[in-house]
Amino acid sequence: MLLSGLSSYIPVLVFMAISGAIGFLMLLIGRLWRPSHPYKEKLSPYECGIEPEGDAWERVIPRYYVYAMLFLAFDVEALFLFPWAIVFDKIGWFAFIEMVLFIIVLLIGLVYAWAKGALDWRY
Amino acid sequence: MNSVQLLTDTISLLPELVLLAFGLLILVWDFCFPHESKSQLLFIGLIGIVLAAFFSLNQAGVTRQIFAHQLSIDYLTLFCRLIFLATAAMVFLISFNYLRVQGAERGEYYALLLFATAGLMIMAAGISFLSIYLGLELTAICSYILCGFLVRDNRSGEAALKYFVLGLFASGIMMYGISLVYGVSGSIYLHEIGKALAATSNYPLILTVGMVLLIVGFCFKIAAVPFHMWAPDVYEGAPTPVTAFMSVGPKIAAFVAMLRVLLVALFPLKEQWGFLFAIIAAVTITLGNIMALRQESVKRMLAYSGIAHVGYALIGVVACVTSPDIGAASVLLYFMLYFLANMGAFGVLIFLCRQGNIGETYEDLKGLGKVSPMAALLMTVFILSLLGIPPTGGFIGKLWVFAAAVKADIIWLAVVGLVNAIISAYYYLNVLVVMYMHEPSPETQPVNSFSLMMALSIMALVTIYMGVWPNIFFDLAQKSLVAIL
Repeated sequence: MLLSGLSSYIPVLVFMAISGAIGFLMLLIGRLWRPSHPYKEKLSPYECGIEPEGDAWERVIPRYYVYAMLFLAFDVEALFLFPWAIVFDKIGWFAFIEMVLFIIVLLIGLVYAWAKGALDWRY
Repeated sequence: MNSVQLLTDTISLLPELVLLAFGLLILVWDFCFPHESKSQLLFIGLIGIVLAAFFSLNQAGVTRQIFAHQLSIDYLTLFCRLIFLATAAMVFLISFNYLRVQGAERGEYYALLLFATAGLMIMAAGISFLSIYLGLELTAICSYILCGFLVRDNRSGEAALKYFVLGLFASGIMMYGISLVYGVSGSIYLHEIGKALAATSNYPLILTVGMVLLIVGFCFKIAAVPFHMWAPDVYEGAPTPVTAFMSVGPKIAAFVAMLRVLLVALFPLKEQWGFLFAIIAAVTITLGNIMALRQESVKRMLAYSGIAHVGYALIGVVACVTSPDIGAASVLLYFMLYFLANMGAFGVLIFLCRQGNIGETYEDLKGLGKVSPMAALLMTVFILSLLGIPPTGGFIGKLWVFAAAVKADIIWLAVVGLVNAIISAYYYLNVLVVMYMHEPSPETQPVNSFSLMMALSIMALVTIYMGVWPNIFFDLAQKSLVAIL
């Protein structure tokens, strides 16, 4: 059965077209309607009058990504633990051992990150 | 799906699981017992590879689909598993000295190589788009890191970033192709897609679009023209053992996955992809060879020659349209021979690599025949095999691919291949001229490394063995194809 479900995507296409058109129209109407009197103070980044200092292209230290990655690993672990816990009494020891192995693998990851100093915040 | 079945499925997957477990073991071992020399990790990794090979061979003759039709355990899988394990073992052996010389000895290197190998094995065993993509990404992510492993070397970082960005792009395109094919056929399982397509003859245009996008994704992975631009830059910048790995493992895995997709799922569309691949093959061979003619660096030359070799193998894919058995077998055979010769050639370059010198220009090779006759002899074997001169294996590979093309009645492609084989003689023989007919320059200083010499000697012997007694290997290739024909 080729293409059986494909025609049911037409409403999605129509929806995308309409929502795109609405966004575009709103910007266009605003553009035509509003008064436009730009001057220097108005165009500065802080309209409250504070002089901007330095360059916007600065180096930032994205240190937190290691934490984000570790967090993600354990987030996903919790995600897998929930369905497992719900059907635990039906699936028995095999699934229990599997889950223990899964947690051990994640734990190795944490120990590895710890040993490599990923949890120290250094500047 | 009960636990007994899950358990038997898990046992079928033992080779991959062993590799992953040993990868983790290496990571833990590295910080539990820190050592200056990482030779212990090398041995742990090699033990893991041997164990995985043992478990693979244990399942010889088993034909079953595991994990709800995600992976297929058959002769083709066995064949690929063994080739990838051999690749990994050889890369382990040629890496050891290189890493020490470059001051990049870290345990993660070996662990990542094992993970990447497991990914290759999953990709080659995959019979649904999901598992193929999973294996592909596992390998790709490990290769991105391995490319940038020389952290102090800017070129290594550049190679990693380039590979990463372009690799993600190609994965995205491939994913889009998969989604379109899924949208039309209603399945991600290759055999079900094949069944759905065979049931009708009225194909929507969107299916063709999906197929083309899928092929674009694969062509990027195998570095076929016009999606080859990343290959020379990445191969040049990456550490040489990693280059040797990347120029072989992911290419073979992508070819096998592509054969499965084309022959099982998209076979009803064979006229269309046959036409597409005929053009890609002709352009790839020609461009790869012509660009290889004018390279200053041996590493880049080998990268372009690798592109040309992908083109030769694609001739076998085109031949699949009319005679799938011979076409696909010639592809497998070709890669079995190419993998040894290409990895060996990169391996000899590692001989020339020392602190502060990457060892990749023709200057470094000058007079190698006088300074180190053994290394020069090995290089000669590999170069002759790449060129396709008997009695080396490369001759048999080319012979079968061209024979498949003639048999499938695409003689013009065979002629293009032959003409290009003659063009390639120039730059391949140039390597021999530089090695034997030039006086040694002060740059020519090969290192001593037992593991490297051992790995290269094994590869050279097998290359010659394949050239003299090719029947065993051809039977092997043909037998492994029973599963997908």
